[in-house]
Amino acid sequence: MPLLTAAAYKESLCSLKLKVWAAGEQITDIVAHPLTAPHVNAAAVTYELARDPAAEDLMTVTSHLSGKKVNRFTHIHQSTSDLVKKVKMLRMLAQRTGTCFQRCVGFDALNAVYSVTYEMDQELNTDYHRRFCAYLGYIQENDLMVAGSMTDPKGDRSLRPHQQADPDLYTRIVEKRKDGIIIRGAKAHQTGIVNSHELLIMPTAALGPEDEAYAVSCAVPTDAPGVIHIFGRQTNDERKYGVLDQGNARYGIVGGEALTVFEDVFVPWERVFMCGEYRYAGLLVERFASYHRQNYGGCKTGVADVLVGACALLAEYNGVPNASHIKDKLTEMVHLTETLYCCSIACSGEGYPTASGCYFVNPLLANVVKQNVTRFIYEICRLGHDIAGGLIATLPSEKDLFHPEVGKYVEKYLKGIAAVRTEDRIRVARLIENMTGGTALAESMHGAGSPQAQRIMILRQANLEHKKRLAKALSGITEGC
Amino acid sequence: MFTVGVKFCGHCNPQVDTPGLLQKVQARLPQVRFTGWEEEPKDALLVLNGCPTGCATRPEFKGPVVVVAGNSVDCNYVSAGDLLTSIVAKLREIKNYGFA
Repeated sequence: MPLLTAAAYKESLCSLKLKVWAAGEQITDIVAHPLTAPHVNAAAVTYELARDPAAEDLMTVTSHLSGKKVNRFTHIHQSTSDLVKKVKMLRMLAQRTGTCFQRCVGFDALNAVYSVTYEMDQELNTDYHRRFCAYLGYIQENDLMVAGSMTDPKGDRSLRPHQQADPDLYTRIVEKRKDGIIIRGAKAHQTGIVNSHELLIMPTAALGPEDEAYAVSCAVPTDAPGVIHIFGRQTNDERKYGVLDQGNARYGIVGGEALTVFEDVFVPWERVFMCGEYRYAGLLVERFASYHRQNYGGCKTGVADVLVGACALLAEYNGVPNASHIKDKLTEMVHLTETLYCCSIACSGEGYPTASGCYFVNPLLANVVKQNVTRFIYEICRLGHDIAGGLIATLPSEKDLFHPEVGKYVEKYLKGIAAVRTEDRIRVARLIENMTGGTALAESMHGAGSPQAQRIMILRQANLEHKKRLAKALSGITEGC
Repeated sequence: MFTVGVKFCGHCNPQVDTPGLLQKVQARLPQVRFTGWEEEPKDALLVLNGCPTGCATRPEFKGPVVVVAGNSVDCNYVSAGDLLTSIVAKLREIKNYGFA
């Protein structure tokens, strides 16, 4: 059963009873609807390539639970080599899709919950890790897509969860029953949620004793009663009803995020992995966030590879591939891209085992990766805009290109070099436009946590006292040494 | 006297001052002799890494080993305030019972 085909993955989505709303309407066919189809296609590539001999070394791995070959997105890292291969896999997938393929969030949630439940059980004598391993086995055996659900809406950011005017602004346990718990609240920015089978809930922040009800981790099917998904708008998303103007029509941009609401959702005990143990909430957040920040020097470098190629292509179509300033800008784009990749490889190579045996990335370096992404991707996109020219901001619509009356003018006056079709020049310009603007940029800033979250983690691990001692020693200051 | 060999990682970018930490461990365990990791015989080995990566090469040693890597002891996370207590407890267990 492990290793679903892409077609079987799409069929499995059709059998779910999802409640998805978008643009004021309920969507019944996630796989075919123009707003959601590109994101389904992108996630399907993670299934397709797992069965491709050319990609299987990155895409598949042997499960430490069953000894069977499984999709890497359902695996628990057993070595630093696994962590490195994760980054390489993400880069390769992003090169194929040019966008987010969404499955890493659940991957990171699985690894974070696996290691933390082990440590909770060791100290508290709870039964969470055994339950989680049974759940993990189910995910691996059925090759399911899991959405990692961490970010609560958070309401007034100056207040703790229990201090909020509306207590549901952080997902919480409203009732403990003999057979399970009832949860209420919501998770925001849920990547890939409408085309996932399962969602794995985690707390969103470190918690204190007054916030015990908010210390909850559990697994819920995405179509469970009481789960409602409200699909997010993206920049230019009405272009999804056309083809050419989308740029990347097959896979779209970013991850197809949604606001997911839990309206008194029942979760049986076998699917509950944290229930009030607030002291472990911070550790779980740190583990998940570090794993997720590791990713960005993988997937974003793959996306940047496509963008560099698109810019080089458009320069060629414009007749200026050999202009020195174009070469210099392309060089800078590659340099920034590979710098991001270096960071992800480094935090993986410097990874280490947790008590459970699951390997964890170096959290300082993982936070540096993501901090760099909040800057370098903007600079890469700025250089892309520079190379592409104003064309990407003023191009007529595909309807005009193919219009019986004005199409000939678009064709004639937007021609680049004679050997290339106008339509192809427009296609690559649209790809650059859509990959570098609006939602795609904001995702680089805030995905896996906003910059300030990384800066807090970086400073916490920087050991300024050690650095001050180094400076004192070299400058001959003996006082206080 | 119960002897513990000590190996350091080299401290390229430490989050924990392990030489300072060792001094505190020594102060809490005056009945234990701490020495270099190459000295033989020894009863236990203490590997002190300044950050969680824990890259210190592990010497071949058949007896009990305690590995500190940043804020973890034998792969278990401990808060910075509890690190000293945790190491001392591990070494006491080894001294008293032969294992931790």
